[in-house]
Amino acid sequence: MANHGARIYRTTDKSLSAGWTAIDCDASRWDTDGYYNAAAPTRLTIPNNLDGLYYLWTNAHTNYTFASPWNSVQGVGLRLNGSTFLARRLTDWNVATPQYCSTLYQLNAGDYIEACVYVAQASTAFAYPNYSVEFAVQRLEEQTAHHGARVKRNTSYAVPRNTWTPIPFDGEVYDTDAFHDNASNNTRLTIPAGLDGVYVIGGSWGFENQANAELRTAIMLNGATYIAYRFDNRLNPSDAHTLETIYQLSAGDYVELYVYYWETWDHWLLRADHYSPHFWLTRLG
Amino acid sequence: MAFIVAAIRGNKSPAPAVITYRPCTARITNSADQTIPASTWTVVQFNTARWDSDGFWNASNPNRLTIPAGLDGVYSIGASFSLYMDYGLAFIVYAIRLNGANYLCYSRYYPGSPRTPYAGTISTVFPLAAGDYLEFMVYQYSGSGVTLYSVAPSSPELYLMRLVNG
Repeated sequence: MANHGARIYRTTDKSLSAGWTAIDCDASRWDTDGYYNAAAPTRLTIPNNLDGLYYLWTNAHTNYTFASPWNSVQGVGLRLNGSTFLARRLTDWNVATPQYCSTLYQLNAGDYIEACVYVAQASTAFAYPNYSVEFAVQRLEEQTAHHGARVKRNTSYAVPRNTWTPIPFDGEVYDTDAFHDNASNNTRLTIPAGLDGVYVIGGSWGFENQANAELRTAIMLNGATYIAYRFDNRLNPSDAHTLETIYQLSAGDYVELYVYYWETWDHWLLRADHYSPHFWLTRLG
Repeated sequence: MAFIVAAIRGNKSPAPAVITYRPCTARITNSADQTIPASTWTVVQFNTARWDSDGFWNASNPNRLTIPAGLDGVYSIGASFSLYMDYGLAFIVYAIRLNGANYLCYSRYYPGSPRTPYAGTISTVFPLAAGDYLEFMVYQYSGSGVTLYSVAPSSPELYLMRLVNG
C-alpha cells in the first residue's frame, strides 16, 4: 500500500511579528519522499511524480495575552506557493490558544505548502511536542480495503470540571477491525496487529449551555501525548466543534478524545445523532 | 488508465495535475459573496466546481455534492469559509448536513467583540451511499445579515474524497 506524505514540526518557540508568519520547521516525524528540505524550512514541496489530491493540516499554539486591544485577531492558515491561502482559521480570543485547520487540495509537483500563523501584535508561537507548531501533508489514494472505526455515545455524559477527561464511547457506527470495545477501555481506538500506517483521526462534540467557560479538546496518543489540540472560549449558548489530524500509528497504539472544562461546575457533553460525541479514524496508507 | 483532473487555483493557476491514480473527488466554490440572514439556517450557495471526477456536482442543483451510483464508500468531507461579524455578542454556527436532515459535523463560534473577521474549517470522515447528498449550512445570530465572502480558493468551499471503495 503506497504511503506518500510528511509531518514536520518546530522544536523551539518562534517569535512572531504582527501579520502572517510562515513557520520554519527543523524536524520531521516522517517524510516518505523528501517533501521537506532544510534549505527551505517553511515548506513541504510536492516531489516529482507525486501530483495528486492531498490532505493538509496544521496545529499551532500562540501566546496572545494582551490587555488591549483584547479583541485582536489571531489564527492559523495553510498557504500555497507563498501567496494563496487554501484554508484559514481566524478568531478574536485574547488567551494563549491552540488552533488547527485542514483542507483537501489538488497539488502538482513543485507546489509547496506552508503553515502560517497570524497575530495582530508581536507574539510567540510555542513549541509543544506533537501539536505546536506541527504541519502535515498526506497524498490521498483510495484504499481497496477499509480499515477504520467511527464510535459514538448512546447517552449524554457529565464531564467533571477542571480535569482532563477521556470521553467513553459505548456505541459504534462501524468498526472494521476491532479498533474499539464498547465495554472495555471504551475511551480508546487501538491499532490492531498488522495495521500500522498513517491514519486520519478526528472527533466532534457538543456541550450544554454555559457562559464564559473555556473548553480545551485534544486527541491524545497512548494516554500521554497530545497529537492535536484546540481551544474554545465563551461557550454560550450550547457549543459544538470538531478536531482532526493525521498521524503515523503502530499496532498497540491507542488514541482518545480528551476534553478539559475550565468552569465552576460540571457540564454535560450532549448526545446528538451523527456528530456528538463521535470519534473516528481511517487508515490512509 | 490515467485520469486527468483540472486544478483551479484562484490567483495561482499552474497547469492541471496529471494524476496516475483515480481519486473520486470534488471541490466546489462560489464566485460571489452571499448574505447570510440572521437567525435562519442557510444553505451556502455554490456555482463552480474546482474539480469533479465523477459528477458529484450538478449545476442544476448547485448547492449539493451527491454521491453517484457505484461510488458508495467512506469519504473525507470538509468545508471552509470567511465572513465578517458586524455585531458583537452574536454567534455563528456552521455544519455539513447529510440528505437535508442530519448534521455530520457542527461547529459554533462566539466572538468576543464586535466587528470581528472570522475564518473556519470543518471536516469529518463518514460512510456515504449512492444518492446521499451533502450541503454546507451556516446560521448566524446577530440581528442583521452578514456577508459570507468569496475568497479564492478558501471561501466558501465544500469538498470530499472517497477514502475507501465500497
